[in-house]
Amino acid sequence: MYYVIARVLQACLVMLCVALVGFIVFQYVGDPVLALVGQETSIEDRAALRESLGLNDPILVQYLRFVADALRGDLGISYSFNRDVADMIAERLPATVELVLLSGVLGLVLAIPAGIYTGIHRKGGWAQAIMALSVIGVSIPSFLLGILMILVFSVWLNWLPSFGRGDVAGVFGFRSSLFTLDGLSHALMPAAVLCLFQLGVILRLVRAEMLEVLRTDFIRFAWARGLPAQVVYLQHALKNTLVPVVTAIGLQLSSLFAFSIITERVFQWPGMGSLLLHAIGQSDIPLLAAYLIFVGLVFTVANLVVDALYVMIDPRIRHGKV
Amino acid sequence: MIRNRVLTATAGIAVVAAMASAASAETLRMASQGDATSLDPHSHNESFTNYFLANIYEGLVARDRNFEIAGQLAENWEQVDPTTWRFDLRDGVTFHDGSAFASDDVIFSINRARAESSNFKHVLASVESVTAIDEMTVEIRTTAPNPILLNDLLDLMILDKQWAEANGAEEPINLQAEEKAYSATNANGTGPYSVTSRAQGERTVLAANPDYWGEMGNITEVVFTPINNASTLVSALLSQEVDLVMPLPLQDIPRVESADGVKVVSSPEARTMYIGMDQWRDQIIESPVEGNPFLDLRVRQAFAHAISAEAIIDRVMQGQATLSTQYVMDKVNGYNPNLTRLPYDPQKAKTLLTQAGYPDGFELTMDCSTDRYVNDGQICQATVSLLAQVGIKVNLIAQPKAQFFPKVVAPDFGTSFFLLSWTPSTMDSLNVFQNVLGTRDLDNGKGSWNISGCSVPEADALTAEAATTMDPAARERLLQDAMALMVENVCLVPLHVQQLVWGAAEKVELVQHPTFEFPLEYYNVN
Repeated sequence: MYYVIARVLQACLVMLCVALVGFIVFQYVGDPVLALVGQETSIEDRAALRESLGLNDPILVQYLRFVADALRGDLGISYSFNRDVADMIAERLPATVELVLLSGVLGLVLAIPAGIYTGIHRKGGWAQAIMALSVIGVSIPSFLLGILMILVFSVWLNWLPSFGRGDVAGVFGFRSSLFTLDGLSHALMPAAVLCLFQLGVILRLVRAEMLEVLRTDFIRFAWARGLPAQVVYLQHALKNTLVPVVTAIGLQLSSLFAFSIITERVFQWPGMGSLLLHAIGQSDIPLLAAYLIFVGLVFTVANLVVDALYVMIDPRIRHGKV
Repeated sequence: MIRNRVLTATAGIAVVAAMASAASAETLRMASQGDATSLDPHSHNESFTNYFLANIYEGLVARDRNFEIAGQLAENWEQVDPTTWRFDLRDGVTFHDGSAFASDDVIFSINRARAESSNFKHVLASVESVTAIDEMTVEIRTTAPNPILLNDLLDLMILDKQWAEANGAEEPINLQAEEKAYSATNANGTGPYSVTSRAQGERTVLAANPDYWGEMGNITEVVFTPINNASTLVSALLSQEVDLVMPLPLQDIPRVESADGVKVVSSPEARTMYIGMDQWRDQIIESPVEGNPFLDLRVRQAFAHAISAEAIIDRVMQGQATLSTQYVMDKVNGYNPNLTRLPYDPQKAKTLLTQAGYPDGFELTMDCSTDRYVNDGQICQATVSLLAQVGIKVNLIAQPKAQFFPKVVAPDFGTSFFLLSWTPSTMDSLNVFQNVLGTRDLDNGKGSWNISGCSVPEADALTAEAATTMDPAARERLLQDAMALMVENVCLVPLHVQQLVWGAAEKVELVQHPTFEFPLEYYNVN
């Protein structure tokens, strides 16, 4: 219990720091007032607006005001949209979450079996081919891959739509494009692009861990006991590769949020990433601050969950023996 | 959707017997790199937002198909005396929610746009008062004779007073408000299209207004999607998922031209690109040179001779621009057809620099945006190499617009050499003189974009006279003379007028205006 409370406090501290760094950086993202007013607006009007938005206050004052408001649940009003920031994030969040989830699941479903396979059949032709493909996944920049896929599947073959989120349907009150065929056809390419990098990383990690574990004594003993191959591979070997793999998955899943900015931009996916890029272009400080806080939250929660999972997977951690 | 279309089409066939020219129901799917920032027509005075909303809301006057000013919600008007204009409002117009349009809506809307928090108040600075003569007549009084009041009213959209008051939208913008502005996400205009659904940054659907008072094309539904990434935008057009994209990146023109079923549509935009030179500091900034070379007319002429606008148009703009001889394009009031641009002549430039005391040239810094105008970064790079040929060493600071504008605009004007451009929103060069070319007088709101700080008092006198001259011919002459003086003094180096370049499906018939307006009532899908 003490452990969990300590971790939650730690997480809060991390988010406060993220916001502080954010506010320092905001001084250099440009002048939000210029993005707000028309070209003919007079200098006095611009100055008055700057004053009324509190942009003349010291950074620390602006930061503390933001934290105080955020604690009351008020994230402020977006300068460029003139709308409640919390509303805008709530509007965009489902799109990003469904994209991240789909690509996360896609990545795991492909990466773990492929990793096990290449770990066992290290010299096989298929394993070599999978490894070669995974290098491409790790090394091609995702925006380039996205543009290429659009060219092939949308422009040349006309199979998949090139942009947008498609139809949305509600199941149990959660509205998502994953529940409609049209929505899925829109989500497929961006999710594939987004998962490719993590697929490569996790595949290689699982393979390396498998190779490592398969060399250990207890696996030799398992073979000596005459256990069938699938029990040795899946129950003995795989279980012991999972601790580092779960860490990697947790971090990867939260970095999917970060990577989704580029993917959302290429596929015009109406999620938080596109919102962030707009906010940067318009120097929309309330929106930027809220986004940072939110991503900070995702990262810290993901880390907390990973820590909790460790304890479940590896009993030695629970008993303080490692 | 398809079923809907079939139904309407069937209904259409039935009507054909009675009406010779029954239009069929068509959907236009359009995409642009940006979205309207708000649905409130008075909140952001930003051109894309204004022109998007001009399909939903209407003004007293508007540009017609031929870009002439014509009555929209005002049927006709007369000038009672030099400072009083009387507008007869159009009868039988209703807002999308069904309520009738009348003079109280006009008075409410103009006053709303003049409110302290509005970005349109400077556009309406000349308006002293608006009063209703009767239910369908309004009178606008100006503080002084204003020959271009109609131009000033072009972007001023009319809202329904009752609707705005009922929804707490009396003020256009309020960033401190606890409640989000209703009018930012909802619309109720009199225009040819009404908003069916809106997800900002994602998708906006417009439906033809069945009760529209005017004529309109055959488009009954408009699906608008912003697509920020240029290559995705082009792909969406090529895969025929959208029918119209704006703007089309210059490098993709050959791709679209060679593809089937799509076309490139382009025409000159009212935006003039120019290079500015510091003419107000005694010592230019970010340069090792002593003093300010630009105070010498010969140095400014040398720069104009050295920077080949033709080469920039040909190479950087791939021919999608027209040469500028002055600081406005030819469709703007006050354009002077007799002016010529100093020709590209590096030898002459060197001679002039030598005469001015810089035989070996000098070194300076150039500020440039990279994401604001068509190929702006590349224009600056070309300028740097052209100037290098006459011995001028330029250190280029190419930066995103979010960093560029705060650096170069008022109050700091933190640059001595820069690339910039201007679109006169009124399509009248007085707007350019007041903001960009006229002597800086910040206390009176003049010259706040005169970043180069040039000053030609004779031209100021001419434009001041033009501001209150009601005779169009005399006024035009004054503005032309003032423009000639500015060009003679090389206040700025004019470069080019960029083209509006859009991509469209073959079947789309559209109208392009130099201001970037897209009046969908004139559009058709064949």
